[in-house]
Amino acid sequence: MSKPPDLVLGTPNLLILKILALEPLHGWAIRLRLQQVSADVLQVSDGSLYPALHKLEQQGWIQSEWKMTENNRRAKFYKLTRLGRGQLEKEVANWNGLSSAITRVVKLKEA
Amino acid sequence: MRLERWILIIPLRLRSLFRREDVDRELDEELAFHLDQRTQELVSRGLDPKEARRLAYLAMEGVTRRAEECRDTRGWSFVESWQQDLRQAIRSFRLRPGTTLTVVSTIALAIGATTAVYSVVESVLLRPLPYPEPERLARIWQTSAKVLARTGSDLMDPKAPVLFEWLNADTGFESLGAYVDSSYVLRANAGAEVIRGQEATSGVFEALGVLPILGRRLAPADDAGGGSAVVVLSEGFWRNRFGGNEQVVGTQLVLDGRPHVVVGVMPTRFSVQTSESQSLMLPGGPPQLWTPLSREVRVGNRNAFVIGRVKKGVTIAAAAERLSTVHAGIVESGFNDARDTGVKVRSLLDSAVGDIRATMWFLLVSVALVLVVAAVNIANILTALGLKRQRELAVRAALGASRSRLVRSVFVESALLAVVGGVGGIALAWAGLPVLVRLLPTLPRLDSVAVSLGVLACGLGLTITTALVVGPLPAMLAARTDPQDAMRSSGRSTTSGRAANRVRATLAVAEVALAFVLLTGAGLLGGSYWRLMSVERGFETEGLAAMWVKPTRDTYRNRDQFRSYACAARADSGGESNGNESPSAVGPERGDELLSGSRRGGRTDQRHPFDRTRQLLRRYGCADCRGTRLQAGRHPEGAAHRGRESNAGAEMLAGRECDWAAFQDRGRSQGLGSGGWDRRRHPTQGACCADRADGPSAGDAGRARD
Repeated sequence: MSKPPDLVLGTPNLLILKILALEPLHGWAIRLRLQQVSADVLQVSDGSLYPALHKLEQQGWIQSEWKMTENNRRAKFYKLTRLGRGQLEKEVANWNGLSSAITRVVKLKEA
Repeated sequence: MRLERWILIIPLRLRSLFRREDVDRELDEELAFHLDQRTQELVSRGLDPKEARRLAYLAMEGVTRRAEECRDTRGWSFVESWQQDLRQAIRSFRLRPGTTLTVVSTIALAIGATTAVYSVVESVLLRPLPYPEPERLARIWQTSAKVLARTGSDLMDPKAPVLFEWLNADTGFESLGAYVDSSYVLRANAGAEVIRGQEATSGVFEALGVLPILGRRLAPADDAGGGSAVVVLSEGFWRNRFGGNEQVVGTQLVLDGRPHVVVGVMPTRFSVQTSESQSLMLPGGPPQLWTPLSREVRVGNRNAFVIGRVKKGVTIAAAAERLSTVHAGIVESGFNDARDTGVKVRSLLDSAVGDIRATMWFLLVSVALVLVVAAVNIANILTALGLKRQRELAVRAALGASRSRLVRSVFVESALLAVVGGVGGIALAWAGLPVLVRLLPTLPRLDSVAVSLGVLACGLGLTITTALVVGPLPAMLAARTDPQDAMRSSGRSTTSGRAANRVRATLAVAEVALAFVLLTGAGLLGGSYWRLMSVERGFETEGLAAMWVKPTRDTYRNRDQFRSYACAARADSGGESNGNESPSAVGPERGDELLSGSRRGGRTDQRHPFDRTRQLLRRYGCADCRGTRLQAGRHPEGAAHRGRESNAGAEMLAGRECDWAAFQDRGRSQGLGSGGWDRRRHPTQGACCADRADGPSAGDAGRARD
């Protein structure tokens, strides 16, 4: 099992918040969705996912709720709060700034 | 925005604090759900269910660790993990009760001893005198070259006439007062009792600035004498005798056969310094009452303490200079008692503490060194323990404990040991202080020793320092351990790494060095003490007791009466000392009082008590000196005892073994009154007193004389 490439520091928050902005999901589903959307490029490891989720919850950016899955199992679903939406916008803006800066650097022509 | 955030967070935090089991169960369920989903996914890809499960666990990179990380986000994890560390520490103490007990008792003993000694040092040296603005207080002496030649110190206690000249002059002192130690025979229901007190001028009360709790202090009007005799009581005396009755002011107290009117009660902190040489001859304890020291009374050979409070803004040195000028004027005017004398002034604290200062500091430093040795010892034990525990720590590291957690848990253990030891030490200090005070020689201001809050803080400070210094050592050693190495090596042996060995070696060297310094110091001290104890005194102290008799002046008016009393006392108490049952020697040691029976005209006698006694022996011969070693000549014969010409060749005087309890009983039956035996300070000194109103009749005395 080869390890996925390391994510840029701090991006898991952005990714998790963005995915939860679409719909409430439980941890496993978040992981699957991220994998699908990024075509296996982006992955949050099984281990680091839950500490990240709990941290976001304690910040008041996401809220959790126990619900039944379609397979009739109890699972902990997370959804974005109003605060979380604000945070997401901030992180997206950060990311846009950062990535465009990196892009500009990368596109420099060599002499 | 802020508020909204707190509304979301607070319930979460509270729930994770108070419903921890629920929250933890939910966490487990959440992780279990994830593992199940992952396993299912792998199985659906064709893996063996068992293998799938294993891979699911592996993907989590340590389920316990991840769960712990989740818990850490709740914000209470530090509380929980401290609890855990504490519980763990207590478990490990139970596993090693011997080591734990050793460490705790080492800390307790070291801190207890240090705190107790510090209490004494603080009370004697550091705590200012219990009076307002103590830095303005000074003690004053007369100086005289003649006294210097006789006693080795030129300081002498001022004579009353000179003192009153000072009082009248304009000096740098706001108030100036004098007092002498004294004793009073208090007639009580059952016989009589000697009460320790002081005669003082009103200036003493003014200078010290302590207000009475009842009535008034002695006032300038009292200094003049005349009028009715007045007395001011101490708080202790008032509580013991009068049960703290507030109606005491105005009542009468019969002292030395004369009625005195109680005018006030002074609080306990008004405890003026008493002279040490005098305390040998007076009943022990602090002064119980004060009567006026009036101008007519000559201070005589009793030590008069003169204290003063300098005016605001005037330094003690400046006041001393001013007083010297005044004194020079008195000398020039040809004042008899001032001839060839000068003045010396020192701050009251300095005079109270005196030469004991260096000794006390030395003692404190020694004890601090003991504490350091103890700390090094503890560090050594804990280090060895930490090395023995490498395997345990390695297992915990392998199970996912982070390095900081490991360091912290070992730190908590050491800190807990130190705290328990420290609490024990403080308890020990509390219990040990009275014992220490009893063991110490008579020190100035020793009666004011108490464990104070400052001392408590000092003890706790020492505890915490010990914990902080000692705790991290084994913890850091443990942190350096690589779990794999530890697991591998500890199976075979417990040999420690090179770094650990170096630390231990350093500790051991430091310990031995410190112990060596301490032992050397203690040995030198012990040697000096031993030499001091074995100084040739010229008489045997074994079984020797001194009896202090205070006949009242109404019954004993002249010398003959006193002489006959002394002989009668001797006859009454076993006469010619023909057996162990009776004292073998009865000799008035402080004869002037016996001789004159009055303070009036008492000769100024600055000689060493020993000389005085020898002189008295010659004069009265009422003593058997068979216990003394003679340098020449012979002991006086029984027949020669009577007259004042008893020319004993004795160079030294003393007594021999005797049974003082029997003497005391006999004395009591003969009306000698209650004997106050002060064995605490001076084991070979006793005190006995009598109200002569019911003593042997004149007839008895006459018979004894014949």
